[in-house]
Amino acid sequence: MSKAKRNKGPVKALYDFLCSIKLSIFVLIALAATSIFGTVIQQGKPHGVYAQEYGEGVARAIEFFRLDDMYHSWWFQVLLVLLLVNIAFCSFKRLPGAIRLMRYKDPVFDGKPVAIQERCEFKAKGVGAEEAAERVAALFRKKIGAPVREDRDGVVYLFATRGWWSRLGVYITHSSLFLFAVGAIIGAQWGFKGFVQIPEGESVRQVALRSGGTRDLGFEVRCDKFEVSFYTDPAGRPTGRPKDYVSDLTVLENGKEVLRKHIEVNDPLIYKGIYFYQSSYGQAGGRAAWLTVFGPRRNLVAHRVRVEKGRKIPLENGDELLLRALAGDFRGMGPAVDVVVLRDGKDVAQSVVLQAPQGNHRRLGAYVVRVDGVDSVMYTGLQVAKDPGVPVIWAGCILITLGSMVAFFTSHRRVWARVRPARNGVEVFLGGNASRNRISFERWFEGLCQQTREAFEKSVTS
Amino acid sequence: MINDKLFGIAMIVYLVATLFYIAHLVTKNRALGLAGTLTALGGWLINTAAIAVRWVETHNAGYGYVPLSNMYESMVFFSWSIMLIYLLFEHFYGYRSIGAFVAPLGFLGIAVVSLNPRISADIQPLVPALQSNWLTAHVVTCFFGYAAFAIGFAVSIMYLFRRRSERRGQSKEGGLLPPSRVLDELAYKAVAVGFPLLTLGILTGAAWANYAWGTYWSWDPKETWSLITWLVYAAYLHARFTAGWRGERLAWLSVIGFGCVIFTYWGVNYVLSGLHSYAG
Ligand code: HEM
Repeated sequence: MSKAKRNKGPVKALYDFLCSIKLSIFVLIALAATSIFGTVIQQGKPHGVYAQEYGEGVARAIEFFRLDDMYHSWWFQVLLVLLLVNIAFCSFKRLPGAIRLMRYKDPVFDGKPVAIQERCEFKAKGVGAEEAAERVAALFRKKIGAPVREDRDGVVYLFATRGWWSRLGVYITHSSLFLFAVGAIIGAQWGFKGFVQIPEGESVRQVALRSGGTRDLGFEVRCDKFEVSFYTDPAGRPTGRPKDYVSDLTVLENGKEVLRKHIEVNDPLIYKGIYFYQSSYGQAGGRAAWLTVFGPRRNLVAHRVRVEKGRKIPLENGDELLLRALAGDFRGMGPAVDVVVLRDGKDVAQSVVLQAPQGNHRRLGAYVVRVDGVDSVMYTGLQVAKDPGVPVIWAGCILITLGSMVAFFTSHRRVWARVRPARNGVEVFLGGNASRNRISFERWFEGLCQQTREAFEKSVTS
Repeated sequence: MINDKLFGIAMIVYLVATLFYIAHLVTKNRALGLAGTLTALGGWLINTAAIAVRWVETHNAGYGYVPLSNMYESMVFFSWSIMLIYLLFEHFYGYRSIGAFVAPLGFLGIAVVSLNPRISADIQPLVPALQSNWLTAHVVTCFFGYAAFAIGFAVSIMYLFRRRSERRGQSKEGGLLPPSRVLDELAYKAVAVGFPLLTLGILTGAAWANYAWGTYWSWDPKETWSLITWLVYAAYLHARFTAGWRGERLAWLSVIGFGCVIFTYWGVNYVLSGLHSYAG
């Protein structure tokens, strides 16, 4: 044995190694075991994070072995490739044999290398071989399928088979793994993943890529509106728990509207194979504020005047008020404006004024300013993705599901019968084998024997 | 709320079923075995009713969702799945002694979350990300798979005990537990049922992730651990049907596989999040 091993050429040795099921089990376990590192060690962080958490030496080791981005490391990819190579070689080696078994229909089993797993035998009196063979054949036809028959020296051999396609299950399943690999490569090569924030009323053409850089979409996406809705309790009062994030998006090609869609979490916009997923939101600043201003004599200078961002309104004696900036939420304290009083074009007083509960005024030089409301703008945060590999991945999903169902829950059953003339009657032998699920085959075969015996009723003698 | 009271009753009934099954295992008394099966079935019906009632109660609270969205709901569903698949197993293969090892798992599933004050049984509205039918498909397939693996685990433990006593010279037939040959086969059956279900569970999870975030796979710890579990069981099945492994090595692999299930389910939430939380 060991001698035979040594005498093999290196090519044959490599071939045997790549075909061996030991290699499959080793790679499966190795993938499982090494994958653990990536769940314990944070992935994709800068050096400092590892140095702080584990110390400089260990951090260096982590980076040397690429454990900081291990699922993309060369050695992890090598394991994955080894897996596929192993399966390909195994299939190449076994498929011809499997095809031979699928097409096998030789009724004569005596002296042949067929593994009969289940068997039963009995004698029947008062029937001829021909009639007995007919009875068995009829039963086969009913329980399995039309039998093939061969006669040899007065002995009748029958063979019937069912579910030959069950042997394809393994190959279907394994080919799905190649589809996953192909789909992943297509996605990595021709897809992208990015992120974009669009304030209400504005549109974008570029998205920031997760891998760095930006990408031109070739069309524009405008956010018309963003809204958060909240759950209400049974009495209809809002609970403050977000129920949904909703954006109204419009796609523009050369400035023309081509598509409108109301997107929410779990319901993306799809245009030209690019998906836009609702993923975050926030305050994008404000557009305008409503202000009330009192003059030096407590006189009303402006009452609930709408002022747009960057615009001025006249006060007394040629003074002006400039709305420099505004925010829908200023440091968590609610809406606020940044206003300046100008005299002869120069700043004389400046302040941030919060929109606060009634009566909250703010002195700016000789004036007093009150914020009555802020017309603020939200932005919607969208995850943007294109992955042309996804259909291939889905095909793989379908194949792996179908293939494993076939591989696990169906089996290729083959049944042989031999009817031999004997004294006053015949000797009947039944044998069978199944590619899988031997326990249920055993039970099924017992039933078959039982029914065959019954077909000979009283004539059965042993 | 009524649902958690019902879950409490189901838990106690499962405990009673466990006691019947153990009594049956020790005495070989058929009546005790039948009592075990009937109580287990009763407990499962109460468990079913509890889930249905909780579903109605989510609607009454104004949120209306399939109750499979948090630790409490998934654990009581885990118990429900374990007992369902076990009862089917018992029906098809007829080995009641397994009940003594599986019914306690059904009991524990509910007990762990009902008796732990840190796990809330309250009905909370779903955050937007969880409002998807994919969630239901994903949780149901995963937990059916986990339940089958739980049975594979219980039977493998029985196998290891049985082998130990056989090595000590006990005969291959007779004894408290079924013969090791039978246990070996039943453990394999359970894993062979669980594996396609886990495959579907991972696929529905990937489909959902793709639909909700645009990435079907992102190597996050939960995904990775479900893949680890899948690989371990794939190794188990291949070791068995191509390399011809049987017996103790395989039984240990089934135990390790179930360890991975538990880690995917609990460990990722409680251990790994703890590992990462202080750095983040
Ligand atoms: C859903 C998953 C899978 C199922 C249902 C499955 C099924 C099977 C079956 C039934 C066999 C036995 C073939 C025979 O005896 O002729 C087999 C063999 C094998 N499997 Fe899988 N398998 C699956 C996944 C995998 C994976 C993930 C790998 C990756 C390592 C793999 C690698 C192999 C290899 C290398 C063989 C031996 C070669 C062959 O028979 O073609 N399988 N598989």
